[in-house]
Amino acid sequence: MGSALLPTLRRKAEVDATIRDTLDKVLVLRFGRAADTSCLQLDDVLAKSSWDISKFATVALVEMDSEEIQVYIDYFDITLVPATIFFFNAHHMKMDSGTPDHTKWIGSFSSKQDFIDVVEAIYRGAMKGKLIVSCPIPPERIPRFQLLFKDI
Amino acid sequence: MPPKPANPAPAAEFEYCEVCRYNHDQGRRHRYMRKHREELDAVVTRFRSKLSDLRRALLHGAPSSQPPRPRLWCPFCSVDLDSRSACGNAIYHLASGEHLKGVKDFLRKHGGAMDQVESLRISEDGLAKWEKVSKSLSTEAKKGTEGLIGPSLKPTKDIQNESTCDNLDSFSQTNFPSLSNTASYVVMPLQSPTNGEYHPISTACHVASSLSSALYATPCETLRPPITPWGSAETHKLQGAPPTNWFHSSGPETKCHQSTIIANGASPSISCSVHIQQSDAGGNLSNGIGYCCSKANVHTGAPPPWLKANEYDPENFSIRSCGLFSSRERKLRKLNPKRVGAAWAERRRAEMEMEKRGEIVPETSDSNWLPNFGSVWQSGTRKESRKEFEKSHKLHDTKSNHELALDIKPYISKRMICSFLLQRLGVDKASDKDGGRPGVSAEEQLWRGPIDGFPCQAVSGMQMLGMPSKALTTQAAVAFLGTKH
Repeated sequence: MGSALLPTLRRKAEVDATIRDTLDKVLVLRFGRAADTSCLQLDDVLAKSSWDISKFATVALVEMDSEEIQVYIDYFDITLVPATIFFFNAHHMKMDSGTPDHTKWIGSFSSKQDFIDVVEAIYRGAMKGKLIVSCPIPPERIPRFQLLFKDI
Repeated sequence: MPPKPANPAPAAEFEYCEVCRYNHDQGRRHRYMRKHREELDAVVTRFRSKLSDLRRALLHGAPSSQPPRPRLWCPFCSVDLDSRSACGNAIYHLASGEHLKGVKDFLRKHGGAMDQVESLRISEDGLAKWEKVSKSLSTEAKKGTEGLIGPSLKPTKDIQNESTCDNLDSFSQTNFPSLSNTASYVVMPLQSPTNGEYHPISTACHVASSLSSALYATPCETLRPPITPWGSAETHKLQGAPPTNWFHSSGPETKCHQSTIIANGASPSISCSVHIQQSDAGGNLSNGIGYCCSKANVHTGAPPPWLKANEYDPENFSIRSCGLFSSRERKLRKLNPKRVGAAWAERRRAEMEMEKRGEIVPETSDSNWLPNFGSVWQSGTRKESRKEFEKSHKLHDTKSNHELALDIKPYISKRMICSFLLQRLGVDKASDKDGGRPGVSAEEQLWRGPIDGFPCQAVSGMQMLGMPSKALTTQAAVAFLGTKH
């Protein structure tokens, strides 16, 4: 059950179009499954804050179980669900939150404000021309996970 | 040295300063503060400018120079002065003794210089002058508009008569520009059942001072019959609205507005709901509650203005949208050119513009497009991560392709070869040699003794040697099989 407000993308063409057409706004893509519990919580946070950040960010959900999306899952190396990836002007934005994986945000957000802060930090960094930003959330609120080397 | 106390003297209780509109507890010190002095200067200057306008307009008495501002607030006496009032309240007040006293008190209280007093009031000489001027004006006005001036209600009763109408017509054409009005909206009353077109005519009403006294209706309802003979050529578009509604709705407004009704000879219409702002010709102006034709609104059933102005809307809208767009463009131009993906954004925006205009720019390799992504394990530029991904992706693809393309070759084991060879060579020989030993496998035979025939020997030799020569064994066997066949 995605949110009524957030578009769910199931095909590669849709994802491509979304990435390419969101200009000068942060694009938040959530890769996950609609039925997963932490996905649900994340979707809730995303949906509720999507309007607040609508002036500088767009949020979309990507269904991981679709076949066309597997390309992206391989490309983005998504192993843990849910994963949130940020784009700005079709460029991927990294965020250093103290976790091993800077390319995406794994897990849910503890509150709407945390999510908004993260998106704002990304927007500010992107506007300054930085491809990697540091996370504004204190480490206790960042979900931790183990990252396995890809060949194992 | 002991530190200075913050408040050297015990402050007074909080009081309100009207000039600065500020509650303070500084007592008399407050009026010497910079802000207070500035505010006071502002108030006094404002009043003085209004006063000078008034003076100029009235003492040099041309009707064209009526004061644009009808109302004056005297801050010294806290009194509202209506300059349109019949008795010239404003002038009398400003010349009066109470005003003088008020000015002095004000200046004393708020610390203004006392020599300004004279500039803030009208002297007795000034008053006298003004009275002379006003009298002369009133006489002129009287001469100009015979039969119409007067506080009498006769004109109202005479509305039905044509003569009055004609007079009104002529008077309106003389067009005293002296009086300004606010509402210029003209609405025709509903005179006949509306079947067809409605021709709204809005004209700026020019209301003469004397006219205001001319036409008054006592209650609204009584005016209905008088209006009907007027301008019957016009039909009103108030299809749904019965006249009663209209008049009823205008009822409450009559208390608020002073209005006149003018029948314009040129374009038959009635100007309604006109604010009369005049202060002129003495006391000839009678303030009466005039009949007020209300503006066309929802209650009267008038057509909404946005539907009427349809032809202008697209133009306006386009202009507005252009304005918006230009502001948006300005905003975009201000975006940091060094921001992430600026070049991409510009390019994409141009593409979208072209697409909007209809020139489609088809992108090649759409299905293989991948965004710029920095992978987790990537150390160099982001292009490398994409290259690596594409490589690995290609490998995956090619692997699957090769499997399908290759012929499935069967696996040939050594045992198979040996048994096959033995079959070929002949089992009899082996059985002869060993006589009575049944169940001896052909391989064992091979193992035991040399048998004439190169291949077997070779095979046995290979077997003794072991694994590494597996390949050779199979190759030899294949070669042998090949030659045999």
